[in-house]
Amino acid sequence: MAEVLSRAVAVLGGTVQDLLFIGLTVVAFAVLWLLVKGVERFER
Amino acid sequence: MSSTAAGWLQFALLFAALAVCYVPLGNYIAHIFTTDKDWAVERSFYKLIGIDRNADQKWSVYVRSILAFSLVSVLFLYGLQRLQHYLPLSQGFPGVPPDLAWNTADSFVTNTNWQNYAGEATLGYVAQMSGLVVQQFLSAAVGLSVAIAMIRGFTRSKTDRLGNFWVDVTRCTIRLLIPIAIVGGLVLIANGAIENFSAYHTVTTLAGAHQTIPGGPVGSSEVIKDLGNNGGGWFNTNAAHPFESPNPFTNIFIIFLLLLIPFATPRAFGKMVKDNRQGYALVAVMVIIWALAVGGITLFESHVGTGGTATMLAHGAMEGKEVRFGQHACGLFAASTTVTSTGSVNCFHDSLTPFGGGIALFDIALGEIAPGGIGAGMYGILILAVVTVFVAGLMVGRTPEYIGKKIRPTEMKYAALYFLTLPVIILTAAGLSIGTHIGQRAIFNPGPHGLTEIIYAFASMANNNGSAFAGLGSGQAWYQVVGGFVMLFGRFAPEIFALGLAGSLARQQPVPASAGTLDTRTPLFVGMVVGVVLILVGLTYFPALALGPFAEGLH
Repeated sequence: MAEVLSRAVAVLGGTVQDLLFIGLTVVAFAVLWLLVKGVERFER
Repeated sequence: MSSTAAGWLQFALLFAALAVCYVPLGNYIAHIFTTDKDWAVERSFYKLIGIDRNADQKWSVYVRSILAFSLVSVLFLYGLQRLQHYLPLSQGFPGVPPDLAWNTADSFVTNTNWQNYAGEATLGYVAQMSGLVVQQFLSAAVGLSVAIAMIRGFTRSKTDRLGNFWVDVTRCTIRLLIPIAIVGGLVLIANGAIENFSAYHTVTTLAGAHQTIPGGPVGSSEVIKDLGNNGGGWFNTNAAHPFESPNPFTNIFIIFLLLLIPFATPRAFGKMVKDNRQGYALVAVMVIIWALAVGGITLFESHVGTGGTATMLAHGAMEGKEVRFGQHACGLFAASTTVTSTGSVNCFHDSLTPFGGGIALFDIALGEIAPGGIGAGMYGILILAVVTVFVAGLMVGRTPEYIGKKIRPTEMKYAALYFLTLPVIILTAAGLSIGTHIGQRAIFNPGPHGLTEIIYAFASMANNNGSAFAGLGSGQAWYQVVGGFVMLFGRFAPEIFALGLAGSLARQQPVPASAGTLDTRTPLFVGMVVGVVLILVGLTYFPALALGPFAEGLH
């Protein structure tokens, strides 16, 4: 998976890479958002 | 005066300067976050961005505000770097490559300032000033805001509200960081740090070679780099560069700046909980660990007896040291930058002796608590104090209470989650890098030193320190991407658990102290917290420390 990720980053063009990294940012913050939600559920 | 005496005098002067600032600055920080009066500029700002300054937020709303603010900040900073060739004063630099731009955006928004690039050869003036420097203010303000919200968990009762994130971050920036940064910046510039918008000059040296002399508004950037515990240098050599730190005074002034707010925050805590002795107890823990770190690194970097002929002739392990400052200033700086979440350096950490480097790694692994990053140190040590109270309760049969709040299983679950998050992130990322071909390709040093470099890199990223051991090809795509995630989760996941804990405490009714309550203002409690910190971190990272710096040092 690591190899695939590395090659994908190298092969993709600038704009596609921009979309990839914007997507990664959104995914990372979505995970954190879900973590907040999970903790809220744990509280109840 | 011998260099050893000069080194200890430097430490004593620094300690005295910090001690003088402890009460007034701590009181001022407490005042900033407790007063009801807004400044006119703040009211205008709230109006501009549509903030209801009277809205009190639940812990989950507070943390979601942080996440939303940080998401927008990452995307803005990413775009700014990618488009920097369209910006004025870009010095002809092209747009930053996507993976590097993403890593750098994550790094500066999370207060890490891990740099996979050389500032003077990658980023123009506008990208640095309006992107990186702005984040150096804001990420620091976010950290302190979280600490203040955490303190409110102790001061409030029977409520689920912890304050307003937007008000906290605005006040911290306008009332605390900007005023000190203006004064500190003027001090640095008056002492020779450069401040200009000149284009780079190419000159011919006496030997006939060509050398490029960079410029930039360095002094005004340098001050918040240290004051905000950021660490991202304008130049690749960071605070060893004469344009950033021109002389020994600026060197010690920079160390003072990076310790100033973290050491004063316990006073703000004591003031807010209306018991200054609670603040003294926590700052004592911080000072003890910091002093141990300074002494340890200085000892190993100055220890000429076992270093061989070259070390003996140089009066210390001088490889990678800035000769203007020497090994004592390096030891003081390296310890101070790693016990805070700063990460700026005035000597090369990869060149530290194995045990000196091991202490720097251990400092980072402590998780920003002694005194820690701006704000992060405060909420980190509060959680460790909660753990200590609980452990002490188990050992001696005391009621687990802290500042009038019961430490129940719910609070301990939050504390455990907080404490386990960083080791899981660090050791998983390091394990994946060591265990995969793509991760191994970036390891340039074999054996224990290579292992130390990887562990140090991920510990630094996850704890939002940002200093590098170097010797690792962290500019490769794997480390850019994994590092970005490590910084984001290393910053925000612990903050979620810290604020969850604060919310849980705020909902409680305060319990009056009884004969069974452990007094948390005594030297005994200070010693217990120090013990808990060292044992918890020591046990967690012992295998990594044993196979890395210890194995190298004992070889």
